[in-house]
This record gives sequence, structure tokens and C-alpha cells, in this order.
Amino acid sequence: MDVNRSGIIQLVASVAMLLAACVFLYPLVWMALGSVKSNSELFDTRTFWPETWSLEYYRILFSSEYFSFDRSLLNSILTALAQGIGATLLSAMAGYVLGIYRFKGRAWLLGLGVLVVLVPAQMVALPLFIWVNTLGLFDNPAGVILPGLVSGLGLLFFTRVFRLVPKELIDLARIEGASEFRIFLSVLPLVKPFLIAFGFAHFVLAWHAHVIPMLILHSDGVRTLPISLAALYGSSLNAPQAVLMAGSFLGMIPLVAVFAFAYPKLKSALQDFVAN
Amino acid sequence: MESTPSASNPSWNWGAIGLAAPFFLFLLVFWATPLGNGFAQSLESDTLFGDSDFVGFTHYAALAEDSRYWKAVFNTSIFTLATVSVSLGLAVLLAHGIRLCFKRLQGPITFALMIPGLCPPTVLALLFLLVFHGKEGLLNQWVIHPLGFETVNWLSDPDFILSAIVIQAVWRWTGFMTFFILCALNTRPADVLEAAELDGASAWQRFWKISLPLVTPTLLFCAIYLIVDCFAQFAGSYVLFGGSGGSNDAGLLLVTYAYQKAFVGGGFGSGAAVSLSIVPWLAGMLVLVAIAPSILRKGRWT
Repeated sequence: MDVNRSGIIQLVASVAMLLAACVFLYPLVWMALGSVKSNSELFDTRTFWPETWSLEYYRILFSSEYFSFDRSLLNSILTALAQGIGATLLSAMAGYVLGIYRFKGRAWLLGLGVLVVLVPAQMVALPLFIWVNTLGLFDNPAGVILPGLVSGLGLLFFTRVFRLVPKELIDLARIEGASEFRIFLSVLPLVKPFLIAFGFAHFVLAWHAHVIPMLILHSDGVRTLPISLAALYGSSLNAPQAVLMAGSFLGMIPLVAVFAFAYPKLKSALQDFVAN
Repeated sequence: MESTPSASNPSWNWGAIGLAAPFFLFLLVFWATPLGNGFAQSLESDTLFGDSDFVGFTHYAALAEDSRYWKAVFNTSIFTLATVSVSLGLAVLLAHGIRLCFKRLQGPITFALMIPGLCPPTVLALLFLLVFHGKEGLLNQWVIHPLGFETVNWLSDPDFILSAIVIQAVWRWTGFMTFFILCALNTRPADVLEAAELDGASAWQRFWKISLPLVTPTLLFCAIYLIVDCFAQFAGSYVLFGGSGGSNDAGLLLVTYAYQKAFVGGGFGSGAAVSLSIVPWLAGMLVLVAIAPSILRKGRWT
């Protein structure tokens, strides 16, 4: 075949896609550079490189003049991690049962999962906020974490995932008299990429959550990073925008790091999932 | 779906109940209960202090007459449809483009495209405040002015506010959608395509008859995910417009309106009614998208 022609196509496509990637990353690079620019330079998009590099805004950020950055970051990591791990565990356990067992009412339970997808927590934010108050969890991270453990998508996802597990394996374990929980634990390694993929996705969604943490978490000590940053923006504190840029940029680093770790697993899990 | 009963498909036992119970317990306490409470609340009067009265479906009836509500419904629908079509169209294009790239670049490019999806909506909104910023904003400076158009006031001109939140959502999600579609395309056996090429099928025919049916389930999943996310969208427009609907309510979305009714207007009953009224709209939109592929393909319903 004409190797030359396909080589040119590859080159053109590569250049075009690299350009597309640059367009997508541009606002983020701009944000990173914005954090070391002076405030007046920030709003002038004609200057890409900062004229003078200054770490002043990072100093302000860490000085806790406006909010405690490290505390907020830690809160974000802990609440998102708890939700990611907890939701994966709960969904996998329930998905295992719905994927492997046949029983009356199974379709109803799956339908319930679909309903949870249809009515996401943001939509019931208001009654949820009142309910969390009633439970005495106002201004408590548990008030955000516990509702965040319910994932309709997780139930549907794992119900399908556990159908990929060879039935013989489960039969064998059952004949050996292993308890149901034991069998569940023993098949978990088989679905590891799926666990990581879902856990990661839920972690990111939890990290991004805005309306519920905003309503429930009030004091500085429990607020998550997006809420602290949003409070800073447009507030009467008159914080320089560059401080926001610095906080936003630093806050994204842990997410990108976790993503880089999860990416290969995510890919193989999704390809398996789609193929079946 | 297959459902042949076998030894590994027993009806139930206590172990299985124990495994499934925690999920449904949490669902009951932290999803069904607030939902039920919300419905009960939506039937009560908007009394801030003291006992409220049962008013039945008065709040829902009032919504039917409320022009701001209809504006929010309209905005949310347009926002959702535009985001889904632009984002998925771009994603299909990008996925095919990436497959043509050098093998070594495919992974890194996909990874780079997905990074905006990691950007929290609040940060995103902040960032886009600069992108949309008046005369010196990125979009005006790099796209609108070079094309010879007048400066667009993205965030204050009612004609452009919706486009601003669509651009923001598209930027955020397209990378992830591209990734999903790529994964679906990569499961396609290469020899099917080669055989089609040898048979003289044009690139367009190959795309329409082979690639597209293969990714349809994935596209459907992506569309459902995007629609639910768009309907629940709050953070983006909240930060951009500070909790209001923007000038002339041109950027008023349903969740924002529910928030306004409850926390700004102090009407918890009518706020709950707005929240719950979103469910049928969302369900309708999902049904529309679920049957769209078959309509496009066969020109009829089923």
C-alpha cells in the first residue's frame, strides 16, 4: 500500500490534534501563568508571558489571609476520598448481588437505580439540606459524605460488570462452602480495573460538588476547596484575582496526579465494558 | 439479556441480602427520604416562621403561570440540547482524528483533552470569567476581533449569555466524551473496516454503516450523562452570574431558579416545587434522546 500517503495523513492529523489539545489546555496554562502576574496584567489577555514573575500571590494564599488554603485542600481530599471509596464499595456489593442473582423484585431494584440517576442529589439539594440539619449533621463533613455514597450510576455499572465474571468460578466457590461475602471478596480482584475506574470518576464528581457542600459546610475549618474559592470570588474581601488563580491551580494538581495514575486502568476498564 | 437459571443464579440467601442492604439503606435514608420530604414540602405554603398550611398543588399551578419559570425551562432545554450536540459532535470528530495520529501521540493527546474535565466547575467559571471578559477577554481578543466582528459582551448581552455557559460545558466535557468514544472505536475489529474498504465502501459509508452503529450505545450513554449533568448544572452559572439569572434572566437555569425561590425569596415550598418539576422535563429529554437514533436511522419510531 502507499505508505507515503498514510504517513502524510498521520502527520496532518497529529498536528491538527496537537493544536486541538493546545486549545483545550490554553485556559489552564493561562490560569497558571495568571497566578504569577500582577493583578493589572491578569485581565489583559494580550500578554501571555508575565512581564514580571512574582510569587507574591502564593505567599498571600498560604498566609491564610482570606481562607486557610491547606485546610480546605485537606478537607477536599478527605471528603472526596471517603465518597469515592465508600460509593465504590456500596455499589460493588449491591451490583454483585443484582448482577449474579435472579430473584423477584430485581428489576424493581434496578429501576430504583435508574430513578436515582434521574434525580441527582443537586435536584433534591433543598430538602436534603433540611434533612441533614434534622439529623444534626449541619456543618459536619459527614453531612456531605453520607449522601454522597449513593450512586445510581454505580449500581447500574457494577450490575453489568459482575456479569462478566465467569459463573463457574462462583459455582466452584459455592460448592466449597464459602460464605457469600467471601465469594464477593474473592472475585473483587477480577474486576479491579472497574473498581478503580468508578472510584476515580466518583472521586472527581465529589471533588466538584458545589451546591450541597455550599449549603451544609459553613465554617472555615470544614469547607472544601471549591467552596472556599467560590466564596472568595466576588466577596467583599476584595481578594486579588491572582490569589484565586494560584489557589485554583494548586488545587488541580492533586486531581491531575490521581488522574495520571488512574488513566491506564480507566482505559482498559472502559474498553472491556464497551466490548461486552 | 440472558437469564437462564443455574446453580450460580439462586434466588437469594442472607449473605446476598447483607451485601445489597447497605446500598439500599443509604438510598432510603439519604435519597428517598429527602425526596419524599421535598414532595411534602412542595404541598405546603411558603411560611418562613411558624406552621405552614397544606396548600395542595397550588405551587405547581402557580408555576404554570410564572413566566420566569418558563424562561428557566426554555433556557435549560436549549442549554442542554446545544451542549449535547456540540460536545458529542466535536467528540466524534476528535476521536476519529486521534485514531489517525501517530500511535505514540494518541495517549498523551487524549489525556490532555480530558484535563479540563478535572477542573472543578467553580474554578472553571472563574477561568471563563476571564475568557468572556469584556473587550480584552480571550474570546473577543482571539476569535471575535480577528474574524472582524464587534466586541461581544458575553456575560451581559442577553443574546450571548446562554452561548457562554454552553461553551463552558463543552470545553469541560468534550475530552471525556472523546475518551469514551475512542474506547468504543478501539473495540472495533480492524478487519471489518479493511474488508469494507476493499469492497469499495467510501469513507462516509464506512463511518455511517460501521463506526456509527458501533458507537451508538456509547453515544447514548454520553448523551444521558451530559443531559443529567446539564439539568443539574448549578455551580457554573452560580459563579458567573452570582446566583442570579444574568441580565434579563437570559442565563436563568432551573436549579438556579429553585435556589433563588428558596434561599433568596424564602419560599421553601415553591422552591421544592420547582426542584421536583425538573424531573418530568429531564425524563422527557432523556426519552427524546433515547429514541432519536432509531428515528434518524430508520425514519420512524421503532
